[in-house]
Amino acid sequence: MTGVGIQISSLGALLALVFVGAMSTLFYWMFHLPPVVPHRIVTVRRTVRALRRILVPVVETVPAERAVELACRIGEEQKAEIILAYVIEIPLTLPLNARMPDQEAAGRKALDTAEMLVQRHNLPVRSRMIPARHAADGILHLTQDEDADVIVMGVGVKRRAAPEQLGRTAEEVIRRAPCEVVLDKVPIQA
Amino acid sequence: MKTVESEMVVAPIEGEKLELRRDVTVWGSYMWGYADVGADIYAALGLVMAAAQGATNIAFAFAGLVYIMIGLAYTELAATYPVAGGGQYFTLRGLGDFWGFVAGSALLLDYTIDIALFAVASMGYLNALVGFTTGVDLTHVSVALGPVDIKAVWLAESLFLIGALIWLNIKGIRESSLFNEIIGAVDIVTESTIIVFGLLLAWKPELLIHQWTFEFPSLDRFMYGSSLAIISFVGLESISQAAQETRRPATIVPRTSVTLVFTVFIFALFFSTVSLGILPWNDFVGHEQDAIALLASRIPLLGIIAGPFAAMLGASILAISANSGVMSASRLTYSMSRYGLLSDWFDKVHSKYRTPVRTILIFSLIGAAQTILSFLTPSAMDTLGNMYAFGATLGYTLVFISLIKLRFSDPYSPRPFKMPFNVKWRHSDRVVDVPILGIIGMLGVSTILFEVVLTHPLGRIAGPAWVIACLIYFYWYRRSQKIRVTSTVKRDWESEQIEVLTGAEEWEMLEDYKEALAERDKKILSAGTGQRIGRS
Repeated sequence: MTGVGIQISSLGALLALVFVGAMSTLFYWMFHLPPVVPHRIVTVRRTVRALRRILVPVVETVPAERAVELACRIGEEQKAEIILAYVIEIPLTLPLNARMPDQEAAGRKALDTAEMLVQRHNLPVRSRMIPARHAADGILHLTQDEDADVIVMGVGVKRRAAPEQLGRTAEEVIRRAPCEVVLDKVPIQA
Repeated sequence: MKTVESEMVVAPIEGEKLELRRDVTVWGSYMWGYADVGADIYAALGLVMAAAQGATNIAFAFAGLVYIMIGLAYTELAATYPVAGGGQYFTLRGLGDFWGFVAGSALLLDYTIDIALFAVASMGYLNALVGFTTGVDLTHVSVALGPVDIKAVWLAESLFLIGALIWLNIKGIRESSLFNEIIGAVDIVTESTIIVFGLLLAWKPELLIHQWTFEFPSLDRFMYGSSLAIISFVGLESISQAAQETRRPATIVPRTSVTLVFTVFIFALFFSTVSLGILPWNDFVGHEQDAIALLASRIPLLGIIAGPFAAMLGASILAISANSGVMSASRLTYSMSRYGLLSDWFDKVHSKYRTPVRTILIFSLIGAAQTILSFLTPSAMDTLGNMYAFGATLGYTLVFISLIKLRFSDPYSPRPFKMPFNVKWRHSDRVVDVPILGIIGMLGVSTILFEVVLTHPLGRIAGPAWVIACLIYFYWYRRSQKIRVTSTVKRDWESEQIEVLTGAEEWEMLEDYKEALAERDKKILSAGTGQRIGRS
């Protein structure tokens, strides 16, 4: 078998260039794999991503409002639903269904502020206001009722308070909660 | 001096099933597929050229577009279900036992022909090398057997190669994989060199245009050519077969698979285009067994070396392709017997070499028998090519249907790669991505199957005959197991999927899968509770 004479054409050169470019790009892409993610890291990321219903007890304080913002950031990636909870504490001297207009107004105001914070993150939000003898009872009741995956609470603690002092409500919620609890301890001036 | 550990062989505990090892890397996974598909052009170029004439590159382009869709479908399925079995497994999961068996038998036909066709083609190139160096034409040395002239030397060489491959595969995968990887890499460089230097030094656009204009085939010949062109893309299945042994399959398989699909398509398109721009199509007639070597020998300056080198390399890469047929046939039967479609007699792994020795032997010997029979016909390669196209197109049609079905029946398995162009469709409380490209691909491959039945005189008889023979075995086997032929055995796919993903260390996918199942269970539970409340 014999060779033919040399025939150089610009279209042939262009096609050769296209061929080399296409092949090089394909092999470069094939060999550049994303790094391996260890199982533990995947699991840790998943446990946070699995939080799809976040309950946040609100009051008209900065620590509580910070807790709403924190909850939104925790739930942002997985578009979690934020449930805002305001508990009206009814004294033992009154029946549980007694009207508490001042507290209801304060609660509505706290919930409105919190809702505005959630809306800035475009997350689904619901507000619940319930009466209870103690705030912790109300929060735990709502946790079960709403099947929440996590409670995010903000607690203001005086700078000079003992480190173990978190307040009765926070301590009770941590002790009895059936789910994960994220507590944001915010130091405040005495 | 050998250490004690290197000589130790872990004997399996009685009753324990030995699993295939996961030791295939990125290059190994790519080469596993390339060893099978990459060599196809060596066998297909001459055959297609003889049929599609001046429109050879158009025939390759048409078949190649269908092949890209097949490739994307396989990529999605192999990354989603990284287990041995390939198309047969996907069809089993999508369409049940009966169709799973039909797909398995079609693909088995292809693997056995793969062994035969590529062993024959490999020896054709070896003979071309002998011709280049000594001037002796071994290919056409024939012996008269009654009315038939048998090319005895070529046949004997092919049978010898099949025997050698049986021995190599019984010894184990590691040795043969390394062999594939080195030769495959040299082949890519050589094929690229032929194309680049062919385009730079010898390619005449006016000759290509002349052949398009004046040498265009009749519709019948074009259909035959394009249906033969599909054989230059058969073998992508091998990557799926190797998925069970690939490290990080969900990450690696989509990359190696997509790269393979496009590199092989580019090679086929460029080889046919370069050929038509260097030589008239009829120069390839009579050179079906060494078309690439002929092309390489016609490149100025390089031809004197490139011709024999391409012949040597063609012989090697085609031998690897025949080897991958042996490996894939044994892995497919291993998978089929594991799911109760074949007797568990096949499902035995050799305790020392850890290879499925029985399946290697049986299907390689079937390949050898096909080789002998093909030499009784006027053109051994054309005969084998006919049957190859039938098995491939039937198997691929079923894989496309399964892909579409699985999008509906198993939306929970995470798909690290999805065929592009999907339309969202609400189906029983879920949004399903309907693969438009999958539907187009199914129609395309069905068209080629139709072309095969219409234009391949041998393929339309021998192909269905093989499937029917396999179905007779299936009927007998299911009867012996007291299972209805058309029924599907209940299997715990979910546990298996979790096991597979855990074994593959695909943690993201595993967690995604568990999450999807948990969400589904929750929905079912709440729907059940709702119904109970409604009733009470």
